[in-house]
Amino acid sequence: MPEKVQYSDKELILRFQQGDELAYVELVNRYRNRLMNFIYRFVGTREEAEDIVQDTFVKLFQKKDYYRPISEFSTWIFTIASNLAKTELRKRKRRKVSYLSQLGIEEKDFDIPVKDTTDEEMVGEFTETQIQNAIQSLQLHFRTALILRDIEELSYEEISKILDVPLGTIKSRINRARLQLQEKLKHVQKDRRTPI
Amino acid sequence: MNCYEFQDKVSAYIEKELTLSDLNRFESHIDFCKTCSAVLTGVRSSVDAVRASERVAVSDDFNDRLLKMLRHGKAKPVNRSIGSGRKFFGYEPRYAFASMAAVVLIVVLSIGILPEGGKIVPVQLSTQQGFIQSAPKKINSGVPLQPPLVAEDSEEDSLETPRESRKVSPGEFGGKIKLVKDQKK
Repeated sequence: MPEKVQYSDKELILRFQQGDELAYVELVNRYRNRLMNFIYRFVGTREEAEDIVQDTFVKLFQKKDYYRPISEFSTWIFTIASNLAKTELRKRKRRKVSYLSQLGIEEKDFDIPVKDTTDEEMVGEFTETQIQNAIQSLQLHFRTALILRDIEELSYEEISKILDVPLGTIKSRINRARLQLQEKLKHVQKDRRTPI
Repeated sequence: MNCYEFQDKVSAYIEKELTLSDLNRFESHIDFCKTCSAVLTGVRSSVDAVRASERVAVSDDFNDRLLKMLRHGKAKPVNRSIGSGRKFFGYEPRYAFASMAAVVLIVVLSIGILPEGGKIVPVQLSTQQGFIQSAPKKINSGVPLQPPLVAEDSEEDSLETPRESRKVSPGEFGGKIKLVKDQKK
């Protein structure tokens, strides 16, 4: 029985650069969920997150020759994804501004959709939603650093390379992001304990 | 250690990156500051909550859609050799060299235009030059070298009482007085 060879990321991208499309598929399989999770925390919706992950892999396909083996492949692919997500957020901000400016004052209140859920489901969903909302409410540079550290569990050095920011700044951003997050989640916990 | 310093080091403490001396100071601060102790607990539990949060995965048909997208020409591979992605000052080589050539040209032309071998002389507009030439050269002496231009008084448009205009000859006062033209002070 032939032994299954486990190639490193670098070996796979080098093979892909030489024209091996199976190596590309293997890289997609390795990184699709990691990137999805990262981007979802970044933009907040699954559909948009999946589109951005697709675009990231399209970029990888198109610009494979830009990769140099001096850096980690994971750093490179996360940098692409992070840049695409930032672009998407900027576009969304512009769309939101123009949409709101087209609405009348009384039209700017939104209805929150009501879902039928059991109490148990609601508590679980509530916590998950609140975490997601708390992360979303952080400033972009805090959010990115926090997601990469606490969700993707990348090293400080890798985050520093991905975001192209000095190591000390990254450490400081992550610390401040965590302090802000605990402040936001503290209120959530208080609200949940308070009887209605 | 004060509370600000404590908060600065919360993550380093959680990730066990504090030096021994900082660790002792940090832990002794926890003992007497209830607020900071609560902050530490809060940060720990929020980090745990984030780490334990739901992992989101792509949909089942992700690869199919991606490959379809690539096959249907939405994404044509860019054929570049590995070494050709080089950039200078953030520009493609040809744009970088064109920009540099333009800058050098501007500098050379500027030096050529400047008088006295590149000394910077304030540039004056032609109208200003005319004005400056007619103005007195010694400004600080208080006395202009040339008599200022005085409009001839006419009885029609002057608000002052009309002066008697008469010519005074130098010999009128026995030559003792020299006539100084319109010098009022």
